Amino acid sequence: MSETSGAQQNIRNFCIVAHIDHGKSTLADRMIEQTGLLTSREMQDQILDNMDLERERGITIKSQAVRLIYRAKDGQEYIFNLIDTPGHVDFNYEVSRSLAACDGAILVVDATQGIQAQTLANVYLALEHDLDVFPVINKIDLPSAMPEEVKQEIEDVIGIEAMDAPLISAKQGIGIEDVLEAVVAKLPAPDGDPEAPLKALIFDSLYDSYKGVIVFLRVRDGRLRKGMKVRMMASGAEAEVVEVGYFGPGRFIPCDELAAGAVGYFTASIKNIRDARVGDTVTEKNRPCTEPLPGYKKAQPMVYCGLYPSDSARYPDLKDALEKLQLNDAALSFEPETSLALGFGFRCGFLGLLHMEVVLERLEREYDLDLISTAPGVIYKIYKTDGTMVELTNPSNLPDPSQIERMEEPIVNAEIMVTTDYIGPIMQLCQERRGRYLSTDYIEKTRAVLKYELPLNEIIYDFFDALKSRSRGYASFDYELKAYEPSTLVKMDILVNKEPVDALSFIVHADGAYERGRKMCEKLKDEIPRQLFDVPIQAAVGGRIIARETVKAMRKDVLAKCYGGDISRKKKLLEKQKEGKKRMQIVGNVEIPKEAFMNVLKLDSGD
Amino acid sequence: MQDLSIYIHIPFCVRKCAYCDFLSSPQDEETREKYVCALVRSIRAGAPFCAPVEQNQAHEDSCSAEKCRAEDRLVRTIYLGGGTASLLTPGQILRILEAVFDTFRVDPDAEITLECNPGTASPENLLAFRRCDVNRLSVGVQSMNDRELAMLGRIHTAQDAVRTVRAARGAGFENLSLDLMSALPGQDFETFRASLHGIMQMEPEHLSVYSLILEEGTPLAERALKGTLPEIPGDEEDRRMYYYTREYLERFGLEQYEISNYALPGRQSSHNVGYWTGREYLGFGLGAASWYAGRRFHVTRSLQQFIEDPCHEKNLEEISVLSLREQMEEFMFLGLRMTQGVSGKDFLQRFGQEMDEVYRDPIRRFTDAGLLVREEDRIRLTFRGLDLANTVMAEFLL
Repeated sequence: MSETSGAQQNIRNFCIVAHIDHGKSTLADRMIEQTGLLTSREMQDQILDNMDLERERGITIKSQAVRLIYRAKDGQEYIFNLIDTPGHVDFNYEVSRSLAACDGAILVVDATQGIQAQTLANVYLALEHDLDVFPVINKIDLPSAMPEEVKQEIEDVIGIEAMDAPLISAKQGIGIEDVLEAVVAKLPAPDGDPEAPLKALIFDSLYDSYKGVIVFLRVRDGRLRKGMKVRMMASGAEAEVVEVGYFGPGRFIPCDELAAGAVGYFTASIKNIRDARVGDTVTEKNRPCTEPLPGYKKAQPMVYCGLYPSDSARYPDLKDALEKLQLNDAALSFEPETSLALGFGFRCGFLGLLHMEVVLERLEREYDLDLISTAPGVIYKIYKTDGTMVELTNPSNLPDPSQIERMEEPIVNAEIMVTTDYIGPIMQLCQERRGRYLSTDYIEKTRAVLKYELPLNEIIYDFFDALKSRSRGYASFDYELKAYEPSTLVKMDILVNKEPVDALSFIVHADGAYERGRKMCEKLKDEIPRQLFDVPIQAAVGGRIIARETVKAMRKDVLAKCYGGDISRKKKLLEKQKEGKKRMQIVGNVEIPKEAFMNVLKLDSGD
Repeated sequence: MQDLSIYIHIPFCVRKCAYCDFLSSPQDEETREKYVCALVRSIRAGAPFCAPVEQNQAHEDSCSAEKCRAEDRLVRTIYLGGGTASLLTPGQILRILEAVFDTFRVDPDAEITLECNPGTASPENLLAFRRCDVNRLSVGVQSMNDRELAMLGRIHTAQDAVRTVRAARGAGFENLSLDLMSALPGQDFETFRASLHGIMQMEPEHLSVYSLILEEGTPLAERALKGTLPEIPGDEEDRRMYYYTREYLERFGLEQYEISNYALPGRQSSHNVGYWTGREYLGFGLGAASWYAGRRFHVTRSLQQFIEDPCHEKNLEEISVLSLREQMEEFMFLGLRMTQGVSGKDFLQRFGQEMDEVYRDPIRRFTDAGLLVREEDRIRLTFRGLDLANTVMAEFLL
């Protein structure tokens, strides 16, 4: 079958990279539409984003792949494997594993905004993976489009050829043909020897209750066929291939074999996702390749928080849901923990705040769970006086201060792209967040990249918000972990009615402790309803109270009238009131609505 | 013989007040007369209670005349409320009361109350009402401040109230109850105090003082939503008015006997005390609620349907049989409205269970918190408990 074994030089494996909102998913949709896979009527917007959440928030979270057949102007038919990648900084890891399956990338740049922080981050990531990159300028239909300036900027800042970049409007369907032709002309065909022993990289997987693990892979060398016995080189697991195929839009299409250069999937009744880990190399059991492919850096969780079911009876459901999510979100980690205030739950690790929010929303939406989450924190390294080091992910586990020699916190390299008008306010913000100034690079007269070193724990607390508001939305932001550095850190406890609420404890730099403590108390004061008595809310560092608010005792809660005709109605009101109490968590004799924990810690990330 | 109360609803008024969400509307004389005819028919038929009893006891002999007429019940109170009951003519009131006397066994000393709004009853009418055996008037004064009265959409002035009360005294009414509202938009402690002092100059035997409740859909609530209403006193101010009321009325010998009610000794509203102690009551007329033979139900709220066929059983709506558990709940949350609270002995007698066992947990908790206090076999709300009555009562739902 020419389609499956198709001439290798007629295959293009590529992805689209872009800053968020520059139109990556829309371009993907148009390419799918134009190559005739679907008529536009059949097509829902943004096909590749097939999780509800992705579509609603307009972001791409999970990488998705689709095969397109394109008849080019040279008369030949090409197979395009388009692999969609997430655009957000939190998902660099996902990007990285998608890139490993590609040979080239289309860089989408918004004609009205030019290069943004994540444009750079993603292009550099693509170049690191030795991908060929060509740019397209999107949104040229907008009145404020400046395609020529943007082209120049791409050449100046990134240093890739941009003068003949296709000028397109993915939304209006303008210039899509040019993009398809450019894929043929500018991106390389995969190399690799179809006759060599099988060597394929697992770049994603998902779990299907009928077929077991569905492994997504890119074949580098050799062929993968139905019935073949394969071995995962890192895990050592072996299996017999039940089905191979490629990616239709939104569905899997079985075929006979996948040859070198192909992107597709296989199933082999693999029950345990750990047997076919992302990054592993698949080879033939009886004719193995000598060397595995270089895997790629596994994503390390950077942000932690506790997750608890608000109905404690649903703890097993939460566990089950986390396990399922982990199957196709390898970056998510979790382990059980208990909280005095919240009962049984899990300490979960995330790539960043957006990742955390996405996971929370998926748990609540797809698994119908009602969750309480604790203050997000980073991983601190605690060097103890006995010479050992512990990685602290839960503030409650902080050893006694007398046992601590020093503490270290993660520092990131941050790049903030901003119009020159807002450099002042943004620098101010970075100073407030304990930033260390590195440099200002002007990419054109009105725009600059500010480079800072920032403690990660200063970013996870409303930094995106502050950035957006101080730049009126004009700043974009990217970061990567630099190193751990010693720091003066303290544990802040929040006391409600004199009792510490473990779920609200967090680690903070000593200098910022007062401010954060005060803010937490203020927020909490608004969230806790009046009780029968005055409730003090305090922030304490090492037993010393540094901030206090009081929820004044309830003054009045009474129905003035209740006569013959009112009784049934008033009783319903009382029933409602009693029902409301069930949603309260009792901490130190105080009834706290479960939402309060979330609201106090509410983080509205930039996107 | 069991005690019974009778409530009669007169759903008419001169003009709807801005805060009112009762079943009441302005109607012409002809409609009012049709309504009275229907009402009298429904009373004489023994409706509304006949139907539900019959439904329930279908296996026994069918609804006998004796049963319908509650031969085994003695009517202790009759209450004509509204709307504005005093909008009816003395002749109409007489026909209604006669229907009750003819149909039910009525205690000769029964408390018979008529709700009366200032400006709706002439001295002649008041005299006539008194002659129809009405022995208690409840006058909706609401405020002694004309600006507040106008804001509330009342049709009268403070002076009208004074005149009406004077006429009532002249007509021989020795048992007067007045209504006053607190926590009104734009009101502060001083203006409330002036109203309270003003109303006490009329020397009522009974006073009801209610914090204004903004009911959804009323013009006042609409204005509050639009933000065009003067500021409503907050809880702090509201309580100050409440405490002052209690203390001031004490000087006149009026004791608080319920969350919003104060009376001279022996002048408590027997009718209302009935509601809070679980006494049976039958409601006649549009929308009127009943509690009879273990059931709650009410008459249709459709004026047309009622006038067309006042005795039809489909007029009775939302008939619900209360379980023992529900009756216990009501016993507690209604009983605790009164300053005398509830009696463990009564509870045991009514339900065959110890109150202290059924409600061990909330009683202990709220006693410890100082919201409830125990006196011999009774428990009652403390002053602080009266402020937070809902918090306490909600926990007495099982």
